[in-house]
Amino acid sequence: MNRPELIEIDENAVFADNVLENLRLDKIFPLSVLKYLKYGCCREEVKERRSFFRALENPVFNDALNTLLEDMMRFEKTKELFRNSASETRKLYLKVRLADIYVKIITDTVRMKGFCRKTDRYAEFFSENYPNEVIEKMESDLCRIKEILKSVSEFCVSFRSKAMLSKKYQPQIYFENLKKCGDAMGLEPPVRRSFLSDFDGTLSDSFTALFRTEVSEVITLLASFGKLTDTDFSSDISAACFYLQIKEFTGKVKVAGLPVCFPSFSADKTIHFESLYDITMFNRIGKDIVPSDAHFDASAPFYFIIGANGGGKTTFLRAVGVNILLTMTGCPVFADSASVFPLSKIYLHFPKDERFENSGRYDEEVRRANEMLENADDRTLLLFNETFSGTDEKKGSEMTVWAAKETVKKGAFGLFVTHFLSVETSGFPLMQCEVINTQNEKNKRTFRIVRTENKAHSFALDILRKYRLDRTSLIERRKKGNDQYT
Amino acid sequence: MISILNRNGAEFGNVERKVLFDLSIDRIVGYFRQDERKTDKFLGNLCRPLLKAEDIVYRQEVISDFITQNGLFSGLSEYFAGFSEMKKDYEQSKKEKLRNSVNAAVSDDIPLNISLLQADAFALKRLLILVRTIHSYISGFEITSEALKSLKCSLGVISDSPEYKNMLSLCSEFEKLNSHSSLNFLLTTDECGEITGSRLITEDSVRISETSVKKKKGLFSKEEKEYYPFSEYIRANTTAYRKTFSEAFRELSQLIEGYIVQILGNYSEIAGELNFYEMALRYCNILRSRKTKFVFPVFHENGETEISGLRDLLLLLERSDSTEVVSNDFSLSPTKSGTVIFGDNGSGKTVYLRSVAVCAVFAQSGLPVAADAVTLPCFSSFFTVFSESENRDQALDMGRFEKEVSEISVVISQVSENSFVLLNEVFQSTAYSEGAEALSGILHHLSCIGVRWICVTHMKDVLHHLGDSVKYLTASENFKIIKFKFEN
Repeated sequence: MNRPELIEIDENAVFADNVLENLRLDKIFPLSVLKYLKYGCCREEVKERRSFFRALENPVFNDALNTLLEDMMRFEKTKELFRNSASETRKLYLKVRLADIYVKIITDTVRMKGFCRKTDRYAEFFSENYPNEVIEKMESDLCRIKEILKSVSEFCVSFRSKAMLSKKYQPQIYFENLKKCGDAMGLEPPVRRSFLSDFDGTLSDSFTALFRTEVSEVITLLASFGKLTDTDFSSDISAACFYLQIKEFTGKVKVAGLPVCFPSFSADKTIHFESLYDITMFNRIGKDIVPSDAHFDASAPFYFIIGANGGGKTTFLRAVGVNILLTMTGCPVFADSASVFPLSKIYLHFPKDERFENSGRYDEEVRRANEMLENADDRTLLLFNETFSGTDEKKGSEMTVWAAKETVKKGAFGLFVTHFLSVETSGFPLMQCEVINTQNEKNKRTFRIVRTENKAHSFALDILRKYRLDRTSLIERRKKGNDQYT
Repeated sequence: MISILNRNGAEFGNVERKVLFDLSIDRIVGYFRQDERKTDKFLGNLCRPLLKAEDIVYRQEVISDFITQNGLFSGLSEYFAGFSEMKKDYEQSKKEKLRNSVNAAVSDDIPLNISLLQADAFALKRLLILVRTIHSYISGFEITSEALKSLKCSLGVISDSPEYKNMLSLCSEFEKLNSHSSLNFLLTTDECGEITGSRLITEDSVRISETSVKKKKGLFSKEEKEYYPFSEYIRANTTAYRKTFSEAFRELSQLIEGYIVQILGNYSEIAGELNFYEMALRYCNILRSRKTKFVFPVFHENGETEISGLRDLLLLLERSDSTEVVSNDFSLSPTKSGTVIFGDNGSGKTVYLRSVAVCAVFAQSGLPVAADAVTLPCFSSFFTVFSESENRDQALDMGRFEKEVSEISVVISQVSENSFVLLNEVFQSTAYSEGAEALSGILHHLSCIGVRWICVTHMKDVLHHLGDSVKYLTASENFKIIKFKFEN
């Protein structure tokens, strides 16, 4: 029976290459987390991961997982040292160390029982393979081995007519003698720097010859532990890191006062996020992230997002994308509350960094859009960001509306950020930027994205107000003196 | 670190170099100066006035010991110069050592590590012998100062230690080491099977008996000594081999180096401190040669200032006949915060201000002063604001006033309770009434925040603004070299 995995990956449910990058998840999560966020997972796995995350809220479980992780990492590090060691003596010591850590790992798993199904299965594997009496025998053997190794931990090397190794016999150490003199004179010995050196081959042979009985007893006792050097905990380490790093990040977010929740699954084709926010901005602006709501249902599975530059359109798009992706990977999401229809695919159409000539860029955009729409189905989220901006307004507007129609035809959910104002009359629901605060500390406007039934108002006026150049502001300038505004 | 200049925990105030120049202290010191470096260091000490009476007395006592104990100063100077020399040599050799250790292959070279240990052992031995020599020299004098007594005591901890001889003999053993000697090591391993300790041990620590090594007892019998199991070790010149056995020598070198650095560090400042005393002794000798009385000031915490028979040092040193220099008294009760000095041009107001200020600066550096008796408070810092040169272009007058105001504003931002501020003819370049009002405002502010001050001015209007809180002195026209009397 193989050791159960702490995280199951469905290789077939991999997201497109650009998804994590365009959603900027690399700004908040390390590669060790991203490697799991690359794959969507089945509903059962989502449930088990959520249960794992919830279990981590319990400090006992959290502590147990951290201890297990630490020990597994020590095991792998020791294994690495074992592989790289040239001396047989060192290898013997490292085998003992591996056995010691392995027994520790077995006992660590016992502490993880009763919190979630994944770790229950994991712990059961060890308890079935290593019943109590076996563990006791291992512990007692290790105790004896350590006693033996302690007895041989010091030995003498003498260079006379020939070089010899001998057992320790009340040695007179020059360092200690000199230090005794220094102490009597009130002189402080300097802090000793650490020193590590390996046994060379011949020293190792001499050591084995000198302590022949002890070494052979250790080898005999170690035999019962099996070939531990073949045991591999690296995937378990990655999985444990994934859970702990997500937990650590959400912990920071909660401390900053931002909401975190697990979405419920809706049976009908709706997606609702209350006070959803783009968590990828957390490391940059902390708790000041502005939340928005997102609601998709049968009547509005698709929206155009329009508004002023810097109004948060892309941020909103990303907030939806990130939180849907986190839902699909069994992670907590960053909103007050959420109810999500189970999706299986996310496609993003973000401008590429490469510089295309106008016609080339447009062709490339059309190709990517076609590809996305061909692969989309009724469990897909499509996110378009300024797509078709590489062509003239007429053509761009037509293609934008075409993409919207195709999205809806496929039964997918979608958002489309665009500057083509003609989409206002396309009949698709609109979302736009709304100013919510102009009086914050940095005197910088903040926006949220709201659904609008009306035509978008003049953004030009917003920009004029922002720079105090609108009619009212100009009158105020004249009254108070221009200096105040310069 | 042992210091014969500063008591442990001594606190220092601040005097900027500019103050020394305003008070002509650089010119005064020029009369008993040594070389440039020593003079500069001496002025540096004057820039750090001691803030506590016991710290000042600490220096005064050393000067007294050096004055009364003939040969003490010169002997110590010579020995501690040797100490400095040794420090320089050692630091130089350490630099070379560092250069060698940059190359890891070289740093694990066993013969090189043995020779570095030999060099360190030799340096420590030399140092121990020098410490004992100085200790025995200083013991030959009847010293009374706390500073020299603690120096003697500290040297005694090393030279009178029962382990002194053992340390010397260990150093000698290390000096004799070579890679062909019979070398013995104790190796220690950790739980990962790495060698974490490699230490040199004495030869008799290793008990090995081989069948070939048997002691004859009688003609036909052979008796074997105790037998300890051993295994033969075929040396291979591997990196691990070099690293392991070099460590034993490096560890010892590091310990010795630590001791050398501590001993050198403990006494490294003495030679430099003796330079201060050398200047102080030259200063005393000049005063003695001029038949000028000098005293060590007494310090009172209540703020009382009482100086009698004070002579201006610069005038004393400039004139061949010291009797030409008239002595003056100065007093300021704890209830008065400052003194305003009026007087005609050329009556000696500035000289008077200088003589009091120099007296205070010298006194707080532990130096004696040319006076009959001196009682002072400890000032926390000294500031001067002297008027700009009058030879400057009239067109710059406005700038001159502004410069003074700016200078005073800097001073005011830096003063604290018990600072001593000396103002000389400031605000002359502005309208009389405005200048007087500004000056009195500043003086009033200084008084309010507990600053002591002396102000030389011709603006008598400050009288109206300051009232009884300050003392007023007027220079009499009867004296060429100033003499003051109270004006009620």
